[in-house]
Amino acid sequence: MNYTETHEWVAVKDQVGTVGITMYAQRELGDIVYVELPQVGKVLKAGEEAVVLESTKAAADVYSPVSGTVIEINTQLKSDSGLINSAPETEGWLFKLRLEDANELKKMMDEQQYSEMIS
Amino acid sequence: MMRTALFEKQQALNAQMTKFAGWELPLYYKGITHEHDAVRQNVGVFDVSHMGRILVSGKDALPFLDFLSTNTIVGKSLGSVVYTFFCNDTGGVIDDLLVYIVDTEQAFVVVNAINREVSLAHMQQVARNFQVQIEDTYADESILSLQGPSSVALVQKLFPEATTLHPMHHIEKATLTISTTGYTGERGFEFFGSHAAITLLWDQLLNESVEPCGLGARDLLRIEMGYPLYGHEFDMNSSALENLAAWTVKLEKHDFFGKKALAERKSCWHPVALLGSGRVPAREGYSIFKEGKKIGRVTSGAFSPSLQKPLALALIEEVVPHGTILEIEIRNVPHSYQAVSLPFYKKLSNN
Repeated sequence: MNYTETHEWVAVKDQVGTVGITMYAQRELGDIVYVELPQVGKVLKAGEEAVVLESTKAAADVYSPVSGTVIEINTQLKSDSGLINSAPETEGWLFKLRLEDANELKKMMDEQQYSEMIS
Repeated sequence: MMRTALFEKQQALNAQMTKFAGWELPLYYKGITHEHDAVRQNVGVFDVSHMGRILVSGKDALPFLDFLSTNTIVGKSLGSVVYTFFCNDTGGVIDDLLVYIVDTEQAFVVVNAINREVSLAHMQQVARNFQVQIEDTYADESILSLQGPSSVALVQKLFPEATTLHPMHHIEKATLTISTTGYTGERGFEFFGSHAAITLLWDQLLNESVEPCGLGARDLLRIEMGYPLYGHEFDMNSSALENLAAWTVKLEKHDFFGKKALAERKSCWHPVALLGSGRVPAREGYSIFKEGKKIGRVTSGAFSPSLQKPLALALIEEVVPHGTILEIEIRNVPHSYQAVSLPFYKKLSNN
C-alpha cells in the first residue's frame, strides 16, 4: 500500500487501485454518517477531491491519491457508512480506479514513511 | 493550551483530544455516537472544568447580578439556578450563563470558557457601582457533568440528599456543590469542587461504570435539544432578542445593562429549527433558501443519532410556521429541511 500526506491509501493490483482512508484518518474524523462517492466513469487527477465524508462533527474531503478512471464504488457504504470507521483499510474501501500512470506511486509514501509521519 | 486536572486520566483512557476555547479537551473516548447513546440511554460524565465559577459576595450580590442579567434574579428563591444573558451596551450578547443563588449575599455564575475574560471584565466594571466582591475560581476548581436517566439512581446511592432537588436548583455540601443542571435534555447533576475532590469523584463514577464523554457528544446532545452555543446561535453582535433563547430576556424588568439599546434595536433575525429528510448534514454557515430566495444561514448542524436524521438550527429573515419546507444548500445542491418545534429529541415518557 502507498499513502498520501492527507491520509489516503491506495493498493494496486493489475493497474487497478483500491482507495480508502487510513485508520489514523477515521479516528480523527469520528463516526461517519454519510458518504458521497464519485460516479463510475469519473476521471480523477491525483490530488483531486473524490469523496466527501460526513462525520457527526464535520464534512471532510478525500483526495484521489493517483490519476485514473473510477471503475467501481463500495456500494455497501450506502447502508453501512460505519464500515469506514471499523475497517477503513479493508472492507471500508471507498472506490477503485484504473490507473493512468503507475509512476505516480513512486511519489507516495510507503507504510514505514507514513507511520513516521503520523507519530 | 490549558489542561484540566483530569488530563492525564483522560489520556490513559485513550481520549481523542481537541482544542476548544484555549483548552485541550477530550473530543471523544470511544466514539461520539457511542457516548451520545450512553447519555440518552444510561449515564455519562463530562469534564467541563474549562467553564469554571465566578463567585459574587456582598450586600449587593443579588441586585448586582440582577442588573447584569436580562433575566430576573432578585426574587428567585435561594438555592435556585437561573439561565440568563449578560448584554453589552448595544444589546448584544456578552455571554449566556447560569446564575446560582446561594443566599442573599452570595451567588456564583458559570460562564462559557470562550468569554471568560470578557465576562469577568464586564462584571468588574459594573461592580464599581455595587457593594460586591468578585472572585474567579476556575484555576482552583474542577467541574463534572453527570447526565442520563441512570444518573438519578447513581446519585441516590452517592449523594442521596441531592435527589430531592427540583431541576435548576443546587445544594452546598462539605466539599462539593451539586446542581440539577445540564446541557443534554436528560436528568443530570453537575458537581463543583476542588481539583482533589472532583478527581476523586471522577474515579468513583468511572468505578460505577459511568461512560466518560467528550465535547463531540456534548455538542450533539445540545443540538438535539435546540440549546444554543455562544459563537453559533448568538455572539456579541447579535441582539439578545434574536435567537431561540430570547425567552430569557425580561424587557418588563425595571432595568438591566443594555436594556435601552436592546429595546430600541430593530429586529431582523428569527430562529428556526430545521429537520432534514435525507442523511446529508447541514453545517454552520450554509445558506438557507425559501422558494429560491436566500433568507438566512445555518448556525449549528449535526446528524442526530437519536432521530437518524440531520438537524439544523438557523437564523432567517422571516417567521415561518412549523411544517414549512426550506432548502439548505449543501455543496451547491438544495436539500429539503422542514421547520419543526423544539426540542428535536422528545422523550417518549417523562421520568
